[in-house]
Amino acid sequence: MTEHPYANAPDYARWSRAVGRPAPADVDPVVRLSFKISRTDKVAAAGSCFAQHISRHLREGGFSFLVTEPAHPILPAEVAEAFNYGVFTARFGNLYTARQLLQLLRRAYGRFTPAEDVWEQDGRFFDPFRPSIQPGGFATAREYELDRRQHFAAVRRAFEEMDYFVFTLGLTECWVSKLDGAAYPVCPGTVAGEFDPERYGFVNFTAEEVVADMTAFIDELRAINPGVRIILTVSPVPLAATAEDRHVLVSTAYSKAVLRVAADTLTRLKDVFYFPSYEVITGPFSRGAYFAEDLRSITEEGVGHVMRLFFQHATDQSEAAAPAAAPPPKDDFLEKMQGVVKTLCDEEQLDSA
Amino acid sequence: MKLPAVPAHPALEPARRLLRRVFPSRKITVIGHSHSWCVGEAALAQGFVLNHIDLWKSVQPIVEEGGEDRLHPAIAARIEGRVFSLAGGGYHLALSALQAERRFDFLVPGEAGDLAPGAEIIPYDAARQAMAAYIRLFVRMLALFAKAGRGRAYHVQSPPPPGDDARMAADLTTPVRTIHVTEVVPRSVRLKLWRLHSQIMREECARLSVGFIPCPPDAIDDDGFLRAAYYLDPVHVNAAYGALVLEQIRQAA
Repeated sequence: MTEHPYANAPDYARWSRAVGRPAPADVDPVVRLSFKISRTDKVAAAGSCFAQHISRHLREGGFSFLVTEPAHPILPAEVAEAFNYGVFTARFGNLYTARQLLQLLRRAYGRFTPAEDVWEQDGRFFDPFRPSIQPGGFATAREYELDRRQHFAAVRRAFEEMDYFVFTLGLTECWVSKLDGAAYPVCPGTVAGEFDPERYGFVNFTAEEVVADMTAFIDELRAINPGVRIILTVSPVPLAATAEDRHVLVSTAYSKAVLRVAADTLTRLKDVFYFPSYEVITGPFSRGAYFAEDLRSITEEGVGHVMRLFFQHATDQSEAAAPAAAPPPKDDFLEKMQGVVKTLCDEEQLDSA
Repeated sequence: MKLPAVPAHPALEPARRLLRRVFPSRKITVIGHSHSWCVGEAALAQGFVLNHIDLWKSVQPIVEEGGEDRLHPAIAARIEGRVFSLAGGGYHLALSALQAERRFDFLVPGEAGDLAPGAEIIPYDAARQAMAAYIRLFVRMLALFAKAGRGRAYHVQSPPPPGDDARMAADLTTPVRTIHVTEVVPRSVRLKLWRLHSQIMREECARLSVGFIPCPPDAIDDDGFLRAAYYLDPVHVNAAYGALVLEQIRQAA
C-alpha cells in the first residue's frame, strides 16, 4: 500500500480516536497554542453572554482579570452585581457582534458619535448600546451622560492596559440604525427604546463582514496597544430568536458557521488565536450534556470542561505551584469607617459615663 | 400630654409623685443606638429618667427563629408603652464622614447641582439600593420594636449632618489615625446621603405603619445642615438637640 497523508495522521486528527472513543470529559480539541498567559498578564474579556463565564473563571482561577470599571466599595456585592459591575472588564454589557466591538472602540475614543445615543422612556434614560446595563434605566439624562463618560474612560484604560483580550463572538444578526449604521446589541423595542422600521434595519453579517470588522478593530487596537494578543472564541449558545424568515435552528447554524469561519480566518493575523470552546460545548461526544434543559443555556459542567482546557493549554502551568496572583487589595474603607463611627460612639459612652 | 419638668432633688420627690398623679405620664420607651443618648441626657437634665434601651449596651435585638425575626426577650421585657425608635440613625455617617480613596457622588433626580470635584458617579438607583441594604437590619429592628410596644410606634429621623468640614476634620483624631484619612466627605455629598437615608426610613415607616418624627426644624440651618449649637462630635448631637427631640416625643406620646 502506498503511503498517503492519513497513514500517519496523529490521533487528534482521527474522529474515532479523538472524539468517538474517549470519555466525554477527556475530549481535548486543543492541539497547540503558541501563547501562555502568566498570572501577571492582564487579561480582559468581552463578548456575548458566554464570555461572562470566561470572565468569572479567569477571576476565580487567580488570574489577573482586568477590571477597569469596578463597582465602588460602598456598593454591596448584590447591588454591584445587579448593576452589572465586574461582569466584564468594563461595564460593556454584552457585545454580540464584531461591529459592536469596533463601534465601542471608536466611540470610546471619540471617533464615532451615534446620531441616536439615548432612549428616553417613561422618564428614564437608556443607553441604546447597553440597554440592560442599568436596571430600569438611568434616573436622569445627566446621570446617564456622566456615567457614560466614566465608562468610556474605563474602556480606554482597558484597551490600553490589557495584555490579552478574550473576545467571544456571539451573533451575526444585528439591528442597525438606518441613519448612521450604529449597531445595537438587541433590537430596539425589545429591552428598551421603540421599534421603528423607518429608523432601524436588520443585517445578518457575512463572514467577510465579520472579518473586516474584526480586522479593523484589531488594527485600531494595536495602534493603541501594539503588544496585545487576542484570543477569539465562538459562543455555543444558540440564537434566542431569528429575524430571518426561517427556522431558528437554521439561522443558528448559519450564524455559528459564519463566526467560526471568521475566527479561523482571523487567526492568520499576528497574535490572534482561536480557542475551541464552541467545539467543546457542541461536540456530539457530550451527547447534549453541556446544554441545560432549555437546550440553550450552557451547564456548569460544560463551562468547567472549557475552562479546564483553557487553564491547561493557555496558561503558564509552570506557575501552577506558585501562589495565585494576589487579588486586588480589598477596599475595606466601609468597614474601617464603620469602625471609626463605632469608636467615636464608644468614646462618647466613656465620656458620658 | 406635656409633662411639667421638675428638678431632680430628694426634697421634691413628693411634688414629683403628685404631678405624676395629676398628670399621669404615658409610658414610653426610647430605643436606639448612639443617637438616642442625647434624648436620655436631655431627660436627665430635666429631672426624670427615661425608659431608654441603649442598643450599644444591650443584647442583639433580633433573634432569628425558623427564618423569622423575633425580638430578643430581654429587650421585649423592657419595652413599655409607646415606642420611639432612633435605631441605626447614624449609619449614613459610615459612608459620609471620611473621604474614601475613590471619591464618589451621585445625582439626585429633580435636584440641581453636579458631582463633587474628582468624584466618580454612582448611579442614584445603585446608591439608593446600597443605602437600603445597609439599613435593612435597622428596619427589621424597627418592625419588631413597633410590634412590641403599645399604640403607634414612631421612628425619629436621624439628625442632619454637620456642615462644618474643618470642625469635623479637627475632631476626627484618634480613631482615624489607623486609616490615615483626615479629609471629610464634601458637605454636599454628606447631605445627600443623609437625605437618602431619611427618605428610605420615611418610606419604610409608612410601610410599617410607624410614625415618622422629622428633625426638629430649629436644629436645621438654612442649608439643611445641623446648627453648630447642637454639634457634639462629627457623628453625634448634644443634649440640647436631645431636648428638642424629647419635646417632639412628648407631643407624640
